[in-house]
Amino acid sequence: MALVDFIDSITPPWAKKRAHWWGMFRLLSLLVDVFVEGIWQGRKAGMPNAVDLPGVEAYGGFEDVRSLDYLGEDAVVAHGLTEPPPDYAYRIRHAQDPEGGWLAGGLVMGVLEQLAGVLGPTPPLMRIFQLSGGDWWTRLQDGTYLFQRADGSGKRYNTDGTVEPDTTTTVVVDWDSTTDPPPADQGAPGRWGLIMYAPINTPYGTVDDGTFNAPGTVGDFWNDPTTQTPDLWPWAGTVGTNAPIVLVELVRTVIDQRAMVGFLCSYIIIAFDPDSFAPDGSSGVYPDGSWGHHSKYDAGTNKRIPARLDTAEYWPAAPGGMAP
Amino acid sequence: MAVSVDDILTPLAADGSEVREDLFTIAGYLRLYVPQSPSEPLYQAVDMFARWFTRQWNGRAVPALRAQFGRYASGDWATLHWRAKGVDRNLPTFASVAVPFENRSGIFHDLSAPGAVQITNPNGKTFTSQGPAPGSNGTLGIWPGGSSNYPTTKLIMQADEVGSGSNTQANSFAGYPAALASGPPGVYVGDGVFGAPSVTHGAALGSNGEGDTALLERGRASQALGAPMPVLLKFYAIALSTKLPSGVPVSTTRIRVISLAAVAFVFLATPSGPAPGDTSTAGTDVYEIDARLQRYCGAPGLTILTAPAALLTVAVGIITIYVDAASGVTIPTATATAQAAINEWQSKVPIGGVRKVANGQGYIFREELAAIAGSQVQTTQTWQRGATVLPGATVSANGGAYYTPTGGTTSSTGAGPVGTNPPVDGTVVWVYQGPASAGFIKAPGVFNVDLGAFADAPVGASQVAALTYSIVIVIVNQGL
Repeated sequence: MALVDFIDSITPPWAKKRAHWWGMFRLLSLLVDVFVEGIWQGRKAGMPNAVDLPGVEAYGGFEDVRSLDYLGEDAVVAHGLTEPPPDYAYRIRHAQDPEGGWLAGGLVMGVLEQLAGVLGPTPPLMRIFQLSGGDWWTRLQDGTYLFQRADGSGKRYNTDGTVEPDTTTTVVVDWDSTTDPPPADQGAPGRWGLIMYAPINTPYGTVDDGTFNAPGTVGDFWNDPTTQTPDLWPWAGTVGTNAPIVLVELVRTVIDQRAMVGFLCSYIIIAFDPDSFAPDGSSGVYPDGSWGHHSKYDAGTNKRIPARLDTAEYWPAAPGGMAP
Repeated sequence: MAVSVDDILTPLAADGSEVREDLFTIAGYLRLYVPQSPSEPLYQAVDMFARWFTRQWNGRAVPALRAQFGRYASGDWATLHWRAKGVDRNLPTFASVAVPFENRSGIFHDLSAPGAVQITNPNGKTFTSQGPAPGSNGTLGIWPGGSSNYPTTKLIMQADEVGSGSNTQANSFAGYPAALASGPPGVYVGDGVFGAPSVTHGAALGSNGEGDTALLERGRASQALGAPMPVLLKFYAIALSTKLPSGVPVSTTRIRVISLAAVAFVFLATPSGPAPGDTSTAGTDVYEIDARLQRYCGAPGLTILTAPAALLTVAVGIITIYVDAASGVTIPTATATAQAAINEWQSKVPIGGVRKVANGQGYIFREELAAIAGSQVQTTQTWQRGATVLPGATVSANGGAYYTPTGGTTSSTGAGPVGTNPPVDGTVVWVYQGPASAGFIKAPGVFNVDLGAFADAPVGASQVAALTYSIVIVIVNQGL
């Protein structure tokens, strides 16, 4: 019972007749009520990640879930652009989880599970591959993992915890061994790439950016010769897709934080053809050693032509930040 | 009805005015007439309760609620917040070192009791003995005379002041003939070698303790300590938690890790510049941090290379700050405030400069520097006894806003002028403008900051920037 109601119940009739005193009682008792209510709500504000059980009022009845971001900061769990509060709250609670939290830091699943979180609620199909090798990891959209190797000794990690053999023999990638001029990191050990199949984070990363002379989809100013590109603000567009800067940086940040230091993620590939980059060799085009730059010299036509698959976009990744 | 978390965590106006005004509004709905004059008893009663509530809410409730979030927790609450997550704040420590003492007298001395001896370092800071060092018993035998060496013992000497202010370089305590600050006659700091006086001891280092910002950074980075592989934040947590052999935390506060081809390049810096030492000199920041990184972050196939950040001197030139006279800030105060703000900001600029996008080119940005230079040059506008006030200054006191067309030096007892047009205060004529809650007629503050020709300065990936600059304060709108 609020103090003001209690005061109401105990005030003698003679005092209630004197509106002046009655008003003062109520006014001052409100102070105590507000104090207690403030502490109550403030304490609940620190717990929105804790209450989302069936049958229980969401977040304990505290509607403002912005404090999730403050809690996420302390747990160092990034919040996706379209990630619903309950999903984010779950990831904060499981920040130290060995399957995808910090206790998986530096592992493939540690990277992909966090990417799936920030690209939720419907994360894309994702793959991690070696720029010079035949190991492929795939995270299916239901959370199943496929580890596939060139010698067929792969594994399938089901969501129910069971593991099965995966005998798929994979393509051995050669990204840039014959690229001329050689990129700065040609031959560098431990390089890997991330592939995300569009749409990567609806409504962002759903379409490419058209042709060179087409108007920019997200205001990237690339195509407008009359516009002085302003200083970057987080929601400005990027070249190649309709992903804003903030989404690109979010993906890079997760990789930065969760990937193992020293082993570079060189490229983040946005694939618009769902059949491209299949590990089993069924796709039409694969890196052939000449993908070190966007273009390559073609002796037949004496021109530079696109070196890479043109149904995908290629983002420089982190750490390091700049593709060679 | 739920309010926003940010509203709950924001303190109320300290003078109780926010609560008081709300109470007046509610009183109106309750048809309770409360006079608006501060001299009325009912007004004063409401005001009293408003101030009580504000004091309790701001002083007790808000800090406790803010402590739930690392970004808002401060002081002891921050200590508790991060301790619950396994991260203890580095507390201030005393500088301490074993120092040799020699007896040049014919009298036996027992210096084993704490406090037996006190000495002074070259900066005048005193150190008091805490007892014998390991391997010594604290006693000095009789010197036989002639050309015999002097009897010696070693005592643990601890600074009397906590923190880095008493830090003392190795071998710098003065030996014979410098007398002890207190102690028996004939006893001196020294190694006891007849005819070849010398003093040999290590460095005495104390720390000022970890601030809230540093604790926040280290606390968050520590979330990655359980990672099975060496991830970026694990590097940060390991490096920033390193202590020197003496137990003092390293002075390194900035770290940058650059990955390339199975190599992790680790660059280190303190608040004032490159981290001291190298990977070969034990007891230095770079050595001790490298040792821990190799142990806790070393993985097969990964090479970790640790080095101090390279120093980059950035010449800014003259920073001109135009300050409105209404702020009441004097030139010396504004200069010192701006310098402190720039130095504080500079000590936290990341290695490689400020970057707009992750891992992009870093800079010392002109606009950011300008904002920082003027950011703290403002007055709380509270009246102060004995203060020099410029013409045009505005201040608040006892709920009122005042303006002085004359300036001068205040002389009242500190309670401030009260009511309309108070008596002349020292040499200052105050003019009452109205209730302070209504705001000031003249808006005080920094008018402009000019950095001249300074442009955004690029900073190399492994560089830490040190700014050279001078500050000129121009007071504008005086007497208006």
